Amino acid sequence: MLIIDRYAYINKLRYFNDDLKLFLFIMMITIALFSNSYIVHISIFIIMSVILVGIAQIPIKGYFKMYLLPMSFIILSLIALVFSISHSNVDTFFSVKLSNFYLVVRDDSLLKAIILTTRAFSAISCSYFLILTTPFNNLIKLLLKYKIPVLLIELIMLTYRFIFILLEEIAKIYKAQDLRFGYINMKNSFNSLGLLLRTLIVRIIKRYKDMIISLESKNYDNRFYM
Amino acid sequence: MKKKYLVLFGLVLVFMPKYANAMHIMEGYLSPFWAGLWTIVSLPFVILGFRNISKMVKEDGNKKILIALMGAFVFVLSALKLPSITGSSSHPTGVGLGAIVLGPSVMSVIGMIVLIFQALLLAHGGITTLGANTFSMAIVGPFVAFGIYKLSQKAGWKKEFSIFLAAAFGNLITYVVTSFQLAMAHAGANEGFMELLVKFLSIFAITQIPLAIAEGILSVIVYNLIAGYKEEGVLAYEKNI
Repeated sequence: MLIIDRYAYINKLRYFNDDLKLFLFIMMITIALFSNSYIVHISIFIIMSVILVGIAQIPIKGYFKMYLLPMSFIILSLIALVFSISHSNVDTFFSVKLSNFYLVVRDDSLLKAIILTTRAFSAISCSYFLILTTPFNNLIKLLLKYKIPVLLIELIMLTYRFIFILLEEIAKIYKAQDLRFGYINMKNSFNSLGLLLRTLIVRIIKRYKDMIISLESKNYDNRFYM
Repeated sequence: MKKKYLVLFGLVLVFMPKYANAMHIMEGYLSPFWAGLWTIVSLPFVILGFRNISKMVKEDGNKKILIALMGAFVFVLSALKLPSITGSSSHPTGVGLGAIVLGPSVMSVIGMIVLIFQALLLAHGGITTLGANTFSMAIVGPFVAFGIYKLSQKAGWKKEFSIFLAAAFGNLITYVVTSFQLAMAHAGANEGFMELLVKFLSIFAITQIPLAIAEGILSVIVYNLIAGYKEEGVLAYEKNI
């Protein structure tokens, strides 16, 4: 169901040294964040994409589709960064007169926006490199190795396990509701969503109680051994 | 000057695409300075929450499982689409109800874990912007929701109304803080902080109002549906609801 998780398990770089992957990620993203030149950003983006598509063999269509979600955030904030209202239209790349104000695109804000956009894309490609090539249990191993508190790792690990159980249950409940026109209008949608969440919470409580019983029968001593 | 901001505000709203998703700050959108600063600001809250969780776990080891279940629950909320008037699809942050049930500091840790998963499994938010996103969604959101809930309970308002207010404002304040963070990070020499703030607020916060109301309504519906279970005393935490 979660495409990134699936790619992390089936890509060709899965068994590659995790420390090296982490090191490459940290190095590249540091360069991307500190650099102010879009040439550096674009080359990082190209390097990462070549590694992911060429070596790790992530399907190219799926890989570029993954940029759609960050893209909508970037476009939205670009609107805010690029356009502004001004009394004059000197030093502007583009301007439209609106009664006594101008809607302008300033030269320097345009340059700033271009650098920001390329920086965002290069940083996103770096994080895709890490999350698309490293399965979650390898990330947990890295966390253990670098001495993150055990309780936090346990919480993260348990959360990871429960996420997939809950997603499966949501998918089933949602389908059943949708088939009965549960999401046909606003009122029904709210009701169905409320019912879905209620069912989910009840199942969470039940699962919690079941798990306590099963853990106790296994001599649980308040620790999960990893 | 005032009029200028008003024109700006109107324009951004008009040209806003309707699919304004509730979103976290993307990877690479904050410079190293701001990313580091927000991480340092968030750290004490997360450590406080972590201490509270350690105490809870020491008393009862099974609480670990409950907290992880709550984290997974908040995470899967982001897979759900809220019905909303504008036709935009957005997800509830879920931290409002969580803060009322578990307490705001515990919710900070859960929120941070959820943000880690959103960055790692959905590429939603980012690893370097984790600190900033934790501050807006996992710290300010829960604490404001919890504060509003306590205040309106003190004022003697109806429980449903208090929950509605807490969840709606907990959702809204998250995006107000996000706008502040973005405006602070990108304010430049000839574009003042205020001007940017107005633009970011109208993109990320004003469009969020219907969605915040939707989350408020949903939280009340969920509360009402669970309330029937309270009498059975299935879970100690339900007493707080």
